[in-house]
Amino acid sequence: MAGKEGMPMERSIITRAKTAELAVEEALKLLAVSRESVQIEILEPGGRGVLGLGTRLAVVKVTVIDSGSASASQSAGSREIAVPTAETVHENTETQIETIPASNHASEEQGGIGIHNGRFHIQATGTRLPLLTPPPGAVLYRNGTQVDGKVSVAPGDELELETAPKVEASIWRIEIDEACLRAELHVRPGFERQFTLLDCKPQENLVVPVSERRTFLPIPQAEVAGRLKELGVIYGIRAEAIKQACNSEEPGVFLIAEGSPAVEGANGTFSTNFETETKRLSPQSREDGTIDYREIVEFPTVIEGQVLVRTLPARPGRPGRDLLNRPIQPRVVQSMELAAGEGVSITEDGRRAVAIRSGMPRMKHQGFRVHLSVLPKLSHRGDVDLKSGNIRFRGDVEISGGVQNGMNVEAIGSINIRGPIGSATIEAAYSLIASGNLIGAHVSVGKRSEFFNQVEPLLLEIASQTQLLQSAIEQLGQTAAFKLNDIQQTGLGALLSVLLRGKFKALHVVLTRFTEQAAKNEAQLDVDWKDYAQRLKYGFLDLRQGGLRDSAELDAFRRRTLELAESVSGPEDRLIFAELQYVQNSHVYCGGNVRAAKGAYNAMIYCQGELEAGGTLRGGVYFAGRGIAVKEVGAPGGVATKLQVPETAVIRATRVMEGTVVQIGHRSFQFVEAASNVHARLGSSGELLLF
Amino acid sequence: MFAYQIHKSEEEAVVVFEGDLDIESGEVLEEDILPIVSEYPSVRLNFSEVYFVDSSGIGLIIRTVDELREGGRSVKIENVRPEVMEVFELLQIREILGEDVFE
Repeated sequence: MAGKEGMPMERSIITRAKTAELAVEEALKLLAVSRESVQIEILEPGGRGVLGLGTRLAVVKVTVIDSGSASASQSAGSREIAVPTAETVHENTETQIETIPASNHASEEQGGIGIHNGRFHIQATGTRLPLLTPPPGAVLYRNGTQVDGKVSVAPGDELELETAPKVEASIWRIEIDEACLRAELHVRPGFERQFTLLDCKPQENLVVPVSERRTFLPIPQAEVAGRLKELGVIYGIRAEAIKQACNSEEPGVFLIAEGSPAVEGANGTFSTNFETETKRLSPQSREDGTIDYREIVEFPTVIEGQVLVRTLPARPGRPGRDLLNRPIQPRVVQSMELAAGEGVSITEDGRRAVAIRSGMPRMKHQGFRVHLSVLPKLSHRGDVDLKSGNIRFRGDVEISGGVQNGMNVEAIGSINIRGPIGSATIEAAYSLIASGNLIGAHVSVGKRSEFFNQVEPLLLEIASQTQLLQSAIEQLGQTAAFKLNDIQQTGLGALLSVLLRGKFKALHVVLTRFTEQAAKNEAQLDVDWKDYAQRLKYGFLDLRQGGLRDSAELDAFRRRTLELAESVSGPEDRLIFAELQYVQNSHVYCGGNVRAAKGAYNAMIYCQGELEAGGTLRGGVYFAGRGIAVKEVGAPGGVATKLQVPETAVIRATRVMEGTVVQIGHRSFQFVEAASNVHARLGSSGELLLF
Repeated sequence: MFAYQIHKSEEEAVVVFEGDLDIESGEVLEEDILPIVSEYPSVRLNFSEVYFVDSSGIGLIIRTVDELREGGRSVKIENVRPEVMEVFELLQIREILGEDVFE
């Protein structure tokens, strides 16, 4: 039907011809327009009919797009153009031309909605209304109400696109990391968007076409700079990055200020210039097929004047600066401190430790302190007998002969004895190598005195508490209301008595306990220990003589405490072990491993490590903290032999004679008859397994 | 210089120290003041005019308080100046004498 009054009429024509091309040509002729100004729709392509019978005509619909360019008469409102059927015959071509009322290609009942010159045109032809979808992003009003989503429109509806610019402001924030070293600007850019309607021909279902003009709104750099200032950021600001971030049309994260982290230094280090470990070589086979166990251990030795340790100084770091222009201190670096024990001197610059005598080096490394000493070596030619006397030596002892009955050999070091040992007492702090047999000997290796065990923790506690005491006194000296004259006159006594009652009660407790231990063990203490015990008592506890005089004496006391603690602490750098041959009727205690290369008879061996026996263990009691491996154990006659290990260890024996007792933890078993390849240990539920 | 005043009432004696409490003034405390105040069931030691202390002076104060309390007296130390209190805190005098000595 007719459109609204004043609305330009659409002109279209449907033509039929043998081919679509011919039909179009015909239509263009009839409409008197050029091909450029029409829309062509092929309704029927034409061609051969079914089974090749007859010919179907092509049908096209040609619509003038731009009515404005058409002539006045042709655009004069709505009318049905009655075009007589033209029979233009071109060689068997039949062209049928007809015009139909202007309409879009939709159903004629629905009508349509189009845009022309920025205005909506609504046509409704029947019971159905055209549908409209507002353009995404833009705002469309129908009769003053915003349209959201697809709606139907009716003629008379006032449709209007919001043409005022729509501002989407930029969003930004500054994030500073925890270390205050990086400030990041997170940016979502802002835009101004403006929409204008695009013309389009009426459609039954129109997605409103619009053109969008988008104008970027940069972030004011001054605002960002202001916010940084509010946050206190004044160091490491990157103006160029701020500019870039503010002008970015894409969302993003920009590093706009960066502090300088501290450059870390390095702690001091040290290098040693000697073998630090006792070497254990594989036993050597002699030409006759026997094995030489004597030379399997090689001790490190140093000579007089040898540089033992060199230190490299600490390299301090460089401070950095955070965003708030606060300095960032690098980690404090520590230098190695060399401490000289016996036989060692430290060079003036404190960088090198030099052996001042030949002997065996000993090194203790705790934190940033390296304590070095060189134990001397005593070589004794011949036997130890009544003529030579007993040997007591602070260092290593080597005896080329044996040790006769009733003699004593004691070393705070290692002992190496080439000859046989009778019913003598041998005590070594670290190791014993006996190349001869032991008959009736009493051997102790790596055993510390009970007193040392007791006082070592006390000494360490005294040293650390004393250090705290030193800083407390220093702090007091810095307070305004504390006078120091009386300390200069009478010593630290008065102050110590107050501190030991108050803040340093714990120190008082350990000092007292040490004094008790020293008194109990007075008989076995040497002059060094006695001196120390006196200094402790009259320096801190019995203040009738005024106590320690000054902070220098206090510091000297602390150093002495540490030295003694070091002297009693167990050997870290040397193995404790006993290498024995044949052990008969002897008593052996060892803090480490024991090897009885040729076995034992009626002996008592107790070791914390492993016990390995090359021959037979015939009679006696054998305990090993880490397990026993033996070739043969027991005797056919049933001499009582007992092997014992803790519950976590195992006993292996190639051959076990009847009567032998094995005990693992609390479970034990006596073999009633001989057995081979015994592997005694506890099973998962604590049962004793023998094979 | 060290001086002191003792204000006595029926129940208590208030000792106001004036000057440094140190090795020299300690003797005065022990020999002159202690015999007088130990007559009273309650003793208050006023430190408002004490500006300096030393370790001997503090030792004597501790001893005096101990002795008075052993004799069944109640002892309070009051008006300690902040700079002197700093020294007391470092030496943990509160822990030694008990919180109740300080008001």
